[in-house]
Amino acid sequence: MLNGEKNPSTTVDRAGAPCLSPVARARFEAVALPHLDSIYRMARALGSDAVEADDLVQETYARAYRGFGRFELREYGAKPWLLRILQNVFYTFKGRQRREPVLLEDVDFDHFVDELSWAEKIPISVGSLNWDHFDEELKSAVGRLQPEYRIALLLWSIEGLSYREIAELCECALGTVMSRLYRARRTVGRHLREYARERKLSTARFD
Amino acid sequence: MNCAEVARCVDALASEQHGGVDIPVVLEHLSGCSRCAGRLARLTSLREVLARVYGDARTPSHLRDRVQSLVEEQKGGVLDSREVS
Ligand SMILES: [Zn+2]
Repeated sequence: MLNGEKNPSTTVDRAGAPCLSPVARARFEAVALPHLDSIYRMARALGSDAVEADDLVQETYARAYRGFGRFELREYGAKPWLLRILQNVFYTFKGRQRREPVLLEDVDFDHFVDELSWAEKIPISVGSLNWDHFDEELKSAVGRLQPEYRIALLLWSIEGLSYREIAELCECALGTVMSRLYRARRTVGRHLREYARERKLSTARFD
Repeated sequence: MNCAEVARCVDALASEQHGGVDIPVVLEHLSGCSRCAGRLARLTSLREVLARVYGDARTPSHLRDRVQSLVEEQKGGVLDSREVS
């Protein structure tokens, strides 16, 4: 299918819902199913457990299927489209609408410079450090972030999206993405700093 | 460029988004400023750690089967017309 071309042969059933023709359904399978692992990976990171991740993925693909007649394969392909649906399903599950964007003016770039400076103080090569525990702590910290911050952080890290791609996907301004990422990283950093401090992985150099 | 201006550029560099970044100027600043260079290293490191922590999740076979059958079941059937995206 050429970029921008709409999917053919979408009809409406008696209930007024869209049905895909066999050709369009085959197209959906070819376009959407290859991204299942990526969508699952994000769902697993967003969801509170494996069951919720399964539900997020199933609902994402159900919505994608229903909306495929309106989907246009643009330059970025199907994955951003699926990730956007996943994001909306996630918000639905959390029982909330997307928040109004935080203005970039909320964040002073002078503060950005020292962001995560605590990380240099953690001797991450410490032999006693249990990386399984550390990973769980990190997941726990990410899991406690506000949904908007969590999504931005995960799109940035897991999917490797640029700020601009995140902004497009989240339908917000570039500055909003920067602000959300800054806040997300700061919150996660504080959590991990506490973790390290409790386990005496570092000295008072944090202070 | 001062550190605050470079901070914006460092964010872009950490996201491999080089458009609009005056790379020679930023690199020159980074070579002489440990604060900004350290921040770029930390951002890159955090991104890598998060990618590692979450990166190994693979769709379990039961879920793959369910998604596949979901498409099969909806073939020509009555579909839910809730919001799509
Ligand atoms: Zn600097």
